[in-house]
Amino acid sequence: MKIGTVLSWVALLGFALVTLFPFYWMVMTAIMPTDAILSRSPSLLPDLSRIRFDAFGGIFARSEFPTWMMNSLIIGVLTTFFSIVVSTLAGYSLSRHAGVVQQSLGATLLISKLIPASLILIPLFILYNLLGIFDTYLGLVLANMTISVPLASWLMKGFFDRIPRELEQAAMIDGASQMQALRLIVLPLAKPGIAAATVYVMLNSWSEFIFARTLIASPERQVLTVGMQSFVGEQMVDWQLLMAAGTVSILPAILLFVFLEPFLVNGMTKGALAGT
Amino acid sequence: MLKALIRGAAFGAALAASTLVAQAQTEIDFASWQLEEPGNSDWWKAAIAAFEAANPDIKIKQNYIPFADYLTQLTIRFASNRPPAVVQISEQNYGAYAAQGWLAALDGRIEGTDIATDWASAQADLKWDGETRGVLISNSALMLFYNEDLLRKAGVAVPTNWDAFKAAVAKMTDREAGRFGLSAVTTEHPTAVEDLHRYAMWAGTSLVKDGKYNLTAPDVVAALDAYRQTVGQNAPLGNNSAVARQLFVDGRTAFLIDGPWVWSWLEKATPEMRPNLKMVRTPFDPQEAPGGITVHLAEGLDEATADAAWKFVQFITRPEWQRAYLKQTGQPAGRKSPVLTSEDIAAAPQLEIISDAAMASQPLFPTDQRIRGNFAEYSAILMTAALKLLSTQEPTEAVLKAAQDQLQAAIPLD
Amino acid sequence: MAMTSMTASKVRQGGWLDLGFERRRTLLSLALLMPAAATVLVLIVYPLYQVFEISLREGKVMNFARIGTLPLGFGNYARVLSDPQFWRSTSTSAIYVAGSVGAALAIGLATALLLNRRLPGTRIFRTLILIPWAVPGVIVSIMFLWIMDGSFGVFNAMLRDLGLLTGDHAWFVDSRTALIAVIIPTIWKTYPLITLTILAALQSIPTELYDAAEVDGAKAVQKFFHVTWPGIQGATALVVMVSCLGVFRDVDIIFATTGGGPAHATETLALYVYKEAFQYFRMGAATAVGTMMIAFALLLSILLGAVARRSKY
Repeated sequence: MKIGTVLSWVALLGFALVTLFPFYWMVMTAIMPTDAILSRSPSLLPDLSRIRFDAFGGIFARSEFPTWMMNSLIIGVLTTFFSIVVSTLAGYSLSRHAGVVQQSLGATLLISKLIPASLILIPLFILYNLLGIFDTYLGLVLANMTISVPLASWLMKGFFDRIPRELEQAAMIDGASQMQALRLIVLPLAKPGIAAATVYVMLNSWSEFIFARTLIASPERQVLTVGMQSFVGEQMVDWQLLMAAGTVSILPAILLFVFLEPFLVNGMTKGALAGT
Repeated sequence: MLKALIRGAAFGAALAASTLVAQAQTEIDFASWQLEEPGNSDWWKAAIAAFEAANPDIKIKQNYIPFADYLTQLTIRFASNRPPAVVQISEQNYGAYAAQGWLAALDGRIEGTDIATDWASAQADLKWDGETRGVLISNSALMLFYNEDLLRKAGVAVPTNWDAFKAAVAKMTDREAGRFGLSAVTTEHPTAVEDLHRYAMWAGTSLVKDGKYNLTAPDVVAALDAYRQTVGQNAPLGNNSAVARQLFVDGRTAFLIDGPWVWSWLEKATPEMRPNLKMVRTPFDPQEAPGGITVHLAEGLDEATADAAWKFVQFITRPEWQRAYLKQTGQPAGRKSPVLTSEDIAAAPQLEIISDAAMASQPLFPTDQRIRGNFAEYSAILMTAALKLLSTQEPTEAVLKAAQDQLQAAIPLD
Repeated sequence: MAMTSMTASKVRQGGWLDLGFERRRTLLSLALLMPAAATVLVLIVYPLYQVFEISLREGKVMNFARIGTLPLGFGNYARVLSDPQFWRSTSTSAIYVAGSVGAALAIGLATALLLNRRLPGTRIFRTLILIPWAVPGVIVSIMFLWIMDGSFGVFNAMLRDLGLLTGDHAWFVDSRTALIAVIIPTIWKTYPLITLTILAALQSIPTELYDAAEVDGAKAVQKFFHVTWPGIQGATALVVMVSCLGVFRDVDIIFATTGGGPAHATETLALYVYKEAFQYFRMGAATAVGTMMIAFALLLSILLGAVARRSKY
């Protein structure tokens, strides 16, 4: 084995360890008793005899944790579904028709990424109450879509750029309409891109915090990221419960990521960058 | 006890209902961060349930907003003209909201009730532009906590005055042994600003005197130098209030000055540690009130909603609910005359200590309306000063002069 | 070919054809684009308009309904531009963004190159190294707040064991280290996207180019500059731009860890906006800064976008 290969491998391993350390420590804090953790030399390795899972029990007993997870899931799935539909159509349009109007509309999609959240909150709150969508799933899904749709559209555009137009045109000669060509020929080929976009949107929605805390008021509709704030009270931060909650809340995201990550890389390789 | 109250209210409601004509339901929004706070939430939920039972025509919609985000979310609602009807704010932040004209004037409603005649002095500070705009649900005080075992082992007596306290704290610090004399807030946290005011007050002076900023006066400089010494040298750095408390509960620090509700928090200590942790009335005067909990009505409510909202506020000011509050949360009641029965005192003597301390307490923060209306800015400037005192070597006088100049520029006092 | 399609379509469809082929195509393309545009713009245009309008109204009023009664003027801009804290925040933002994205870029490039070497276990490493991207910003803050805690943080404990530190260091509290302390979690959260993008770009560089360079006798460094870099330049510029915009705009991590302190040490422009709006109730100043931030970000996107497009592979 070449020395370069060994060194590279060691570097990768080292980096992976460093990067995963925060997760490790979060879990450790959740399972070790307070005095072991709140010490000036906490042990890096767990004292197996003192492991306690009370914190995990605590978060489920004390709060509406399952409700929050359910809501995050519902919002995530709805957001992803609508975002993918909308982004795919938009991406296709941007890819196949490069007129001035399209280009500028495409550019304006990115404007939403430029506004500081603090400024958008009050007008959005007013707007939502006017439209009657405050404190509704629909409202939050729409807000999440504004975050994800821009980049997802560009992702899909890059992907479609890589699929030769000849394929649709051949189908249209054979009698298909453009929409049928899109549906039957192009979309199946775009699956990796759609998978990549799905991962991106799902993760964004799961992590979303600012809109969720402003646009949802009822506890039964609250999502995970906001719910977790209730472990940070006025007078105290329950580190163990907080870390336990943190662990549980990132598990679905990580699982999703672990399973779908190959698609993400694949999709980005084949698609996103061709458009630049 | 709460159950008894609820039963009583329900019985009364049943009686009343039989004589009442059916009315349309009024729904009022109530916002608070305490609805999920351990200790407090039980009281609120019981009070709300009992109120709804006694008033079947009024429904209270509970809006829990996490503390970390409370003021932001509240501001969004007020600025969008959709405020909750009844809102809880802590006394420190009240000024900013009153200054915007968002809180309804309550003098007309208070007249003739107990609140006008039998309420803690802090209630009088809830005036804005001549009108009362809130009701004090809970008063505040600062208590001295100490670890008896640690003091005994080090041969240090429980201090009985301010200077003795400072000396005792210094003596109790032993970094080699991992032990600190004092648990205090040493990071960017509102309590750091509180500390500046505390140390000034206990030294017999104050940061704002005769309507002018007083930070460069020699006695203030000396008092805050003492803050620098006492806190900076004897408390672990970088602690927010939660960590500081936890240190005390774990027996790593000897002294803690904090709110009365920490008494129930002491139960988190291990069974070996708990007996060592004591709470007493702060042995040095004046007793200080950093600010209690207040409830307010939003400005601009329609009459039906406003009336319903006021009914709720009045409900929780009743003696039985004030008593329940004190017993459940360990926080002093807003009501002046004692609410505790002799059985209560026998069962939990610390409650009487807490109430007495609160009744004697003086407001910790300046009550000048200009400062209160811009409290965020006032606090930010002083926070910078406090942290400079704790973590740099810059001379105290220079730090305070800079702070005073900034204050005068930001919030001019004539 | 186009004629054939048109003829074929003409045979099948009805009055829709009267519009003419090109027109139809344009309308269809716009129709496909509309849902995305509508979703984003409807929810953005009104707030954007409000932001811009409020910045031009003078007076300290938080009641949005009454904003329209205030006089128009540039007072907010004047006030903000003469506030020394605004300029301090600008430089803090610059350091924060440059530091975070710069380091993230270095890490991203290094890890992408390493992962591209297809060493054993690359698949697993790739997944592991990209995981921080899946973590919500609020949780990142919590993790690092705890790890870098002044008295009980494991970070300090490790530094003590290594002999690099004696006593405590309150990373988030000391104004000299606070900015570094918030940059670290930001790097942690930002680099995965860069790694991912560069890796994807690397994998689309045709191997023939490397072979050709090899034949020409190029060394590793030369291969990098003449084959690798041109291939990833566009993608890198794009992801750097996206990351910069994101870091510039976000307050999550700083808000949860230092709240902008101590002594304004970590008060970036985004945080300055938040404080002006929600703590000091000076909506005029907040929106003025916000408008300037948007203008600046727009400028940056156009510039970096041009760079990205220029170097198409």
